[in-house]
Amino acid sequence: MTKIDKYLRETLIAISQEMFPHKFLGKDVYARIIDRFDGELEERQKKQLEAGVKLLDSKYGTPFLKLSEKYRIDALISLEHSAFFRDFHGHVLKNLYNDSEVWIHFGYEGASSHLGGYLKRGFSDAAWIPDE
Amino acid sequence: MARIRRAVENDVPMMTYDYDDDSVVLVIGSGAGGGTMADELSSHGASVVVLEAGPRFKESDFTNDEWTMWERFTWQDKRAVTGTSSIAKNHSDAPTWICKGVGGTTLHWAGMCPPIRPYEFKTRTTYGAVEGANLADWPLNYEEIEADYIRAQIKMGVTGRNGMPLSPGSNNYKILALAARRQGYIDYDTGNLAINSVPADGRNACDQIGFCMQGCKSGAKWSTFNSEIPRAEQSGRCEIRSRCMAIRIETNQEGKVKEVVYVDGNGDIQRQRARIVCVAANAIESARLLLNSENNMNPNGLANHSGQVGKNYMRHVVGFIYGIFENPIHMYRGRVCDGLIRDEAKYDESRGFVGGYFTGGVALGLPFFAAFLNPGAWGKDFAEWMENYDHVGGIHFNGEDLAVESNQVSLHATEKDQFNLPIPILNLDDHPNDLSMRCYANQRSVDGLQSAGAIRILKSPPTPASHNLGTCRMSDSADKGVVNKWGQSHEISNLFVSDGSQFVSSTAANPTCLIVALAIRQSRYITEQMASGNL
Repeated sequence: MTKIDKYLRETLIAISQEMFPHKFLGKDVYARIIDRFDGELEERQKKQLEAGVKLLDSKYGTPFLKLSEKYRIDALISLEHSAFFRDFHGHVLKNLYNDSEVWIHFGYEGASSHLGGYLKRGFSDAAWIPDE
Repeated sequence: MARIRRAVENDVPMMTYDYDDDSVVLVIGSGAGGGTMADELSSHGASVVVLEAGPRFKESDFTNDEWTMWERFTWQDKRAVTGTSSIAKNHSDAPTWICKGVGGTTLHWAGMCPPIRPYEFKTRTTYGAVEGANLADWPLNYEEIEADYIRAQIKMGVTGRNGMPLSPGSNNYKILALAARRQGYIDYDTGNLAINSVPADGRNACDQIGFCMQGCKSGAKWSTFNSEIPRAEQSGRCEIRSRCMAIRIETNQEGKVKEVVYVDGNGDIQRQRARIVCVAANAIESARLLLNSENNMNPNGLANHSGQVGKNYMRHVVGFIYGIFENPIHMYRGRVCDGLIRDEAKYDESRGFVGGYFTGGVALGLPFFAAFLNPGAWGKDFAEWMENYDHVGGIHFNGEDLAVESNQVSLHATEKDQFNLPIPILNLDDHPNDLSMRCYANQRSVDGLQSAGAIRILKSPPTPASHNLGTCRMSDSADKGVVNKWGQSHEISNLFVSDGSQFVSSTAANPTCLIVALAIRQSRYITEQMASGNL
């Protein structure tokens, strides 16, 4: 198990925010994905992340963290077919939208059997959809 | 409302058979095919042992959480993939989505039971020769299976059939219905699903929990887990052995099946003698087991004189289309596959393809929606789709996949599994008919959502297949098929295939109901053959 340093952590958080930009989600939501990842990281994965960040930092000769949004996105586009990008993207996606604390922000209510399902809780409440 | 509870926990005194008891019918697999065989055979008085590779779950193991349940009961053993289909590109590490556990893939299925059509048993005669396809007529016709098909529908409690009422429609269904109306479709409703709309068969009516594919916590959805398996055990004649992976079928000097070698839950090798063996391990593992059971008399694998074991592997032509609407839908509230349009499930070459397809609603929870909407997508556009999640309505289509001989399950030359057996390779190429049908169905679906008022629409790529068929096809001829019209091996009379591997055509419909019907029929045949001394 290996820890990631502050610079790598900050950069990975910033990358995840560009990958899945939801303004109403605080930085802490993305940070906890990276922090949980940190606890499970193998050496090989850490090296892959470091190498990816190094490439991103070198794209415009300026650290990714200092780039404006447009340039951050361009830098990421240039790497989007790399194993680094694919692996990190998959990991963040799965964890972000599986975070039960953010669900309600997307209008998802999650588990329902303990509440008797949705039969009496809006399963056919969309009166705006025409019947004819 | 009082909750009716079925005895799905193992509170029935277990019948235990000796390893040397060669009077038993040994069923490999406990899903739609194997579970039904166990129930039907034991009800006819047979002694039955079921080997199930996966664990035995309890209803309390089911949780309303998509990823947790994916981990818990998906068959995750490695399958290699080759071929031109998008599955080989997008899902090379997990090309199928089926289950490992008592109940098989009925644990996670969504309950769809659209009707089969008589012409689907005569695809070669009806479509003619289609270049590149290995079409054949089934050695039985619709009239021969109809009574058992209706029995299956009744057993499973299919809505809109045989007195089981249609379910009420969710918000997502209302979108499908609106699209259907505006497109001029006439044969649509909330669908034929094996999910109780009223209490029946000792199981509750559906509460619209919305986690059908994560194990039904109310028991409203039929599965062999909550129906056939408990019933088989309650007969006192059926023993379920879970965590037992069959690795080889052995024959005797007369070439008949003698015993099955398996690895039990402790990792020990066991051998169970059998009078008859029924293979129902789902189309990939059934073919693989037969191929791995090669011996001197059967150098190409058991029951493989025709060379067709593993071949003609069919799935279905599928697509998923989502639309963002101006007002909330909350598609996750309710059955995952709510609604069915049947108009396109017909033979009509003027559309540019043979075979037909069904259209239904589909809903995913937020975690799965993110994962499957547009694999690999990111950035503002993807985020916008996610932020509109509760305004999204979804539909899917499921259509006939033509048999192609080179679409097949074969044994890997070098890579082995944890039992030191070759892993399966799946070769999947798209046939031009698949592409034409998918293109047409996608366009109709897009048009439908548009006409219903969708402001943005996205076509999702096909997901890993839950319908796996055809790898031990039926034929009247021992040269052209693995089994006869009863699912019985041509060469080895006491060896049967009892799952979707038997299918000669995929039909347009989700296969579970037909698998159950074939198992009802096969059980009756086996019982008669045993009584007359032929088996």
